[in-house]
Amino acid sequence: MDIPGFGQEGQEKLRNTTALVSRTGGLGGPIALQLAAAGIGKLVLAHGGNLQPSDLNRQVLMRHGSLGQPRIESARETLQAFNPHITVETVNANINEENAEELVGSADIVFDAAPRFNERFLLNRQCVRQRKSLIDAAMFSMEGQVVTIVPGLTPCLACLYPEEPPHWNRRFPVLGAVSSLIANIAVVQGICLLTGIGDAHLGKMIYIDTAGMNLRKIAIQRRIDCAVCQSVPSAAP
Amino acid sequence: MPKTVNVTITYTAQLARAAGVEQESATAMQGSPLTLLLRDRAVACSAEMKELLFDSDDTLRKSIVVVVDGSQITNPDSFSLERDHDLFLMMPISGG
Repeated sequence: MDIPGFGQEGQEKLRNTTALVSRTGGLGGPIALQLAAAGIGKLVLAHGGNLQPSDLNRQVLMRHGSLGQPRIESARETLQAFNPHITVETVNANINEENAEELVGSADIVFDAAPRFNERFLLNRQCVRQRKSLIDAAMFSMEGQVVTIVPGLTPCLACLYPEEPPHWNRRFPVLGAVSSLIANIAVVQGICLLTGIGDAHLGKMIYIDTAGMNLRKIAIQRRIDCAVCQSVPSAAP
Repeated sequence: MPKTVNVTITYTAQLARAAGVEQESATAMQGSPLTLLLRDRAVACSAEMKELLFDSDDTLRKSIVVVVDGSQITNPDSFSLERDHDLFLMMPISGG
C-alpha cells in the first residue's frame, strides 16, 4: 500500500498478524473483509448459527444460496475467494466462557462486533487479562461507535459500561451501509494501532450519527474502581 | 440574583426516541447537580425516559454514558453545573 508511513514494513506487520473477529454479521463481516483486503496474515472468525433471510440486509460475507447453512462457512468461502493468500480459521460458535480464553490467546488483536453485551464483556475481560488490544464496534439504527482498548493504556469496555444495560433489546434497527461504515472505521483504527500510521485514537470513542453526518471524538475515562482493568497498571503511551 | 447556566442536551439512540427530540436546551441554576437537571428533564419528558435513565432507587443508571463538553463523566452524581455546557447522553448500543 502506497500510503506514507506504511510501506513494506507496515504490510509485513499486517501479514504477521492474527486477528480474531467476534461475529461475521453486519459489523464483523465487513471488518473481516477489509482486514483480508489489507493483507492480514490470519483471520480467526467466531460466529454460530445458520444464515437467516433477515441477515441479508447487512451481512456482506453471506450469500443468498447459503440460507439455512452455517454463517461461518459462508464467511470463510467468501473471504478465501476474495483473498486466497490469507489464512482463515473458523469457529462455528459465538464467543463464550468455554472458548474465549483460547481464542483471544490465539490472536494479536481482537475485533468485537457482537450484538450481545455479555459476549462483549467477556471478550473485554479476556483481552484485559491477556493484555490484547481490542477494537470494539457497535451500531444502532443510523448511529455507531468504535472504541480502541489497549489494556494499561486506555479505559476498557467496563469503564465505559460498568453494568449490563437493562434495556438492551437484541432486536435493533440496522442499515447495512451504517454497519459497514462503522466496521471500516474499526479496521482503520486497528491498522493504525498495528502499524503506527495515523491516529489510533487511544482513550477516545469515535461516534457517528449518519443521519446528520455528525462525528464526535469523545474522551472516555478509566474508572479507578473498574471491576475489570483496575488492577492493570497504567503504562506510558 | 441567582445565576443560571444554559445546557444543550443531545440524546442518542433509544433516548432520542423516548425524548421525541435529538437535542434540546435547558436552563439550570449555577452550581446545581447535573443529575438534578437530568431527573427534571426525564420526568418532564415521559415515564419511558425516566425508566431508561434512572433505576428504581432514582439513581442514574451506570450504563448511561454521560458526556460533558466532549469528555465522559464517570461520576455524574458529583458533577455540578458551573457554566454553560454541552451535554451528550448516550444509551448503550451493541452489535450490527
